[in-house]
Amino acid sequence: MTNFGFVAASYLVTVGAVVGYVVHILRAGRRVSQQVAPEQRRWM
Amino acid sequence: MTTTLRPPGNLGQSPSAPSTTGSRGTRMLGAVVLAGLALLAWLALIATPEEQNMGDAVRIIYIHVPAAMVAYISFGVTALGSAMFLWRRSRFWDLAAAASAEIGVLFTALTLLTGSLWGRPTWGVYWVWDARLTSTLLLLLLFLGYLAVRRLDAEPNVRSKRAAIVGLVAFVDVPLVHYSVDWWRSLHQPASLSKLDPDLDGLMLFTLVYGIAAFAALYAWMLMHRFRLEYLREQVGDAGMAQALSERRAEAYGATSTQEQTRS
Repeated sequence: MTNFGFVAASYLVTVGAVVGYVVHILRAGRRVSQQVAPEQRRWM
Repeated sequence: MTTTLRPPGNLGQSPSAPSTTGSRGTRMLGAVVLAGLALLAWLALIATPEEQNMGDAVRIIYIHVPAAMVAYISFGVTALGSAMFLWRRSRFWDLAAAASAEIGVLFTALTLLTGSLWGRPTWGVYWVWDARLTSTLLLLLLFLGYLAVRRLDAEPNVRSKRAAIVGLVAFVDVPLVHYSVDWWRSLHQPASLSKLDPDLDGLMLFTLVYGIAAFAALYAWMLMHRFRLEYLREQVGDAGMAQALSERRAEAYGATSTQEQTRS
């Protein structure tokens, strides 16, 4: 693999992991918030 | 104060209550973070020059070092939250510690992965058991252990107390990781920024510092969402416990009434 291949792999792994984690917590937040009364989920 | 459980799928929400962990603040911060990361990608991949010895591989530094910095910050927040929980028994700090630890584990893993991908073209190997890499791997394992302790079946306050102690002990590894390149012989290069005359200069130095700031903003955004998720899960847990206790009392009352009727 060329040097730029290692660079591309690093950035892809980082972006993929961060995006995957963000999607996971947003979806989990949406799912759990539906089980909690509105007055318990008012955010600033 | 009791928390009302809603059946899954039944939104039952008032118009002003959000149905997610998002808010106006997180949306604004999220937009800033996205723009900041886009600029970082341009600077890191296009605008900055190659390095004399490492060539293009140096571009990995603009995500590797920021990821490591965010890992340090995350575990620092976990340690602070753990200490505050042990001192004040504060649920806020306990939830913050838990949320931050999970993010820290993610960024520590990314530090190791990107470091590995940088090591191959630079050192010729993906991994060596030197002080920096080994202590960073230990850090990852310690905080995976912290997350495991948080999932143990125990009374919530007991579980939080145990996790807080583990979090404080595990944090001891953070300065070990940072100073490992100074205290022991290490293949890993010394810190690029901690001296008055850094090895980088010009646009490369700016991009590295900017990358740390962009990743720190990303961490703040992730922490807000993760904290709120942890808070919501606790509300569901508390409500579930209240409901279970209520049902148990109803059963006991029903059984007592039956016994009294039978005697009479």
